[in-house]
Amino acid sequence: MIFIGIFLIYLAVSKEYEPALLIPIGFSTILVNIPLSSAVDQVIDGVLHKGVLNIFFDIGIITEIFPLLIFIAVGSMIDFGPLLENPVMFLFGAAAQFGIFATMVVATLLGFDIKQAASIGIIGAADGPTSIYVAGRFAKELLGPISVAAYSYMSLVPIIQPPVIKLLTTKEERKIKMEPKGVKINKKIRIIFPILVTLVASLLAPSSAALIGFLMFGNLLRECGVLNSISKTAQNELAHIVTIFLGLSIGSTMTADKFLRPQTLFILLLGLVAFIFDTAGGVLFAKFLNLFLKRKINPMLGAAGISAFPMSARVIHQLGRKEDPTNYLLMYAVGANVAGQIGSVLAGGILIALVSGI
Amino acid sequence: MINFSEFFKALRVGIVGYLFLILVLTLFFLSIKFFVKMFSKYDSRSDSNEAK
Repeated sequence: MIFIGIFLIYLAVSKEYEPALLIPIGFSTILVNIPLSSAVDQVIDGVLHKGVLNIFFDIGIITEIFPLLIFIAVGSMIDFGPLLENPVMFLFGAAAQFGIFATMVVATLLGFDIKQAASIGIIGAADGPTSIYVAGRFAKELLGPISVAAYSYMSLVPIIQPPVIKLLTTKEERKIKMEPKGVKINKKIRIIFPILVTLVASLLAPSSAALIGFLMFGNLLRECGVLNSISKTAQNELAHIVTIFLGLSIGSTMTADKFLRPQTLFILLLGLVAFIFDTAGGVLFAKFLNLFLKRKINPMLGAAGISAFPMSARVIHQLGRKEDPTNYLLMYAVGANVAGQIGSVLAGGILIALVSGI
Repeated sequence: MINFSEFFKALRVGIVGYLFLILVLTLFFLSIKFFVKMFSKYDSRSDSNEAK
């Protein structure tokens, strides 16, 4: 396991795969696997000595505080303007969550129970905090591999998405031009938006209230215009501090008995399947919409509905420019991408409600 | 060994969950479209008042 910890640090440093998370996870993995390490719980002479990493885990993950604090930071970083200019992109933010639900079904075929399967499926949210939140609720024993898979595949979006998109679209479809709308989004709408989304989402799916509420609270800090320094603190200091503790806490679950199992390989494989299904779901939904639309939508935008922000939007924009250098898809792709952020958080809440009710 | 009872539970959750998610985000789409239209109308009216 110590070598796995070193390998995670290597991936973070040399390949730059989500270094902010993988370095703390990797280092914590080393710490928990040192024999008689005082960083984890030890029973000495029949007395339990709590390890600091287990304390972090209990305080931040069991109580769900760390992922929720990260959501405040994420919300304060996101500009929903491109989505408000093109609200139709909301539909792609929903469609591209297909991988979550499809992978959950596939996972049950590999012997996982429904709670574990839901936690694995949520890797397809392409959203680390949501994955941690759901896995922390349903399958704490799988938290390590699920987090590693979620963050690693997010970094691999530029490798995973293009072949799937090319397989499902024709050259002509990829060349479809999207004209800029030029809609001016005023401050009132930007302030109403986070409140409206919180109200509607929480009333329809109360189990998503904490997730969506914290995300939108962060966004309100950003958009209200009177809390600029607090918004900047959320985007920088809060995000960085919580990320350190989140990574260390997850690493505390990376012990040999929990990680070195065939299940881990299945989880890594299913994570990849989830990202592929997400991309396919978004693209196919866009193609389905095009059957009814006079003015066609570039179906590649459907793939930007996954929540790997802003990586996925960039990938779609670059693919569009490759087919036609005059095609400028970025703002539409960013719109779909931030819709995916809302979609993935909601999907997490919906899964919690449905699976808890079984 | 495949546990079909878990599989069918997951299938049910998958179908209901995905359709519900699409429904909620469609509601967002319609309500935001409405708000953006309403406020841009309101703004253009107040702009023209200012011009007067």
